Amino acid sequence: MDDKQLVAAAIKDHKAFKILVERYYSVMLVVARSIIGTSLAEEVVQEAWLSAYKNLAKFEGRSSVKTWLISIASNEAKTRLRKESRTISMSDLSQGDDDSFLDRFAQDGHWSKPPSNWQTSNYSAGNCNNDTPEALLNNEQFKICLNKFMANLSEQARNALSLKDMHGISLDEICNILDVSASNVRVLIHRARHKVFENIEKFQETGQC
Amino acid sequence: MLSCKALSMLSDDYLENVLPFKKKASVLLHLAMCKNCRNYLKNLQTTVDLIGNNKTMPLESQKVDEIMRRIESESSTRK
Repeated sequence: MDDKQLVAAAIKDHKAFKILVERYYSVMLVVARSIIGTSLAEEVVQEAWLSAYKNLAKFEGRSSVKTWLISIASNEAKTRLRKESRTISMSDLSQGDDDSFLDRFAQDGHWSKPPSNWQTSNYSAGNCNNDTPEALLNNEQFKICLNKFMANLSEQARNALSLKDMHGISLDEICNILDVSASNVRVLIHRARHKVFENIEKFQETGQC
Repeated sequence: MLSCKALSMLSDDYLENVLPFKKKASVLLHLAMCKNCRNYLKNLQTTVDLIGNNKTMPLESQKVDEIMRRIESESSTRK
């Protein structure tokens, strides 16, 4: 059953609604976290699902179900943010993570510390010919390190990168969710990705986080 | 000609294939001559794929159950 059929079925069938919750809970949680922070995010997501349930019949299918649910979570979190009288300052966003990657270039713009040739198959457990990211993720130590790399990012950078690379949300949607300009979001994601890039590179060289 | 540093600033848009034609052409020209930047973009794509494929936050069934309990209670109130 596709998403729109699920929404139609969910009006009368709680099992269909549960499938929607299982499918989109994670992305809604990241959306809520990016607006209101970790401590209140779960509560906000619960309210958002309740609101989605009440409005199932109003869903007209003009957007995807994912976009519809994200906007409900985003609105719910922003309403809650206003009630809590909290604001997220733009300086928090722009400070996210510094761009230390630029130190890898000499003044003439050439690499002073060029990237190494990553061997993604070296760490795969079981199948050394499987030269894919999935193979690298079979390595438990690497998975632990990757989670650590993500956790070490600033909260805003982690949320923006998760929305983009884990949940496939477009830059335009991320701008709307975070209420910031496209250029800010681009910088945030660029720096966060390169931070993770350098940490993976370090893991490639040393086998440690 | 594009420098390696300038190419890195265009890397996200290049990987997403949203660069305007002229900029994309200058990236491709640079890549044809620069092994370091070919390595760099390959590694950056791997980074994006690894983040995307790292499903490390398995959904806790308890959270889903909590939501469903509230839904059940909401729908019984309606009736």
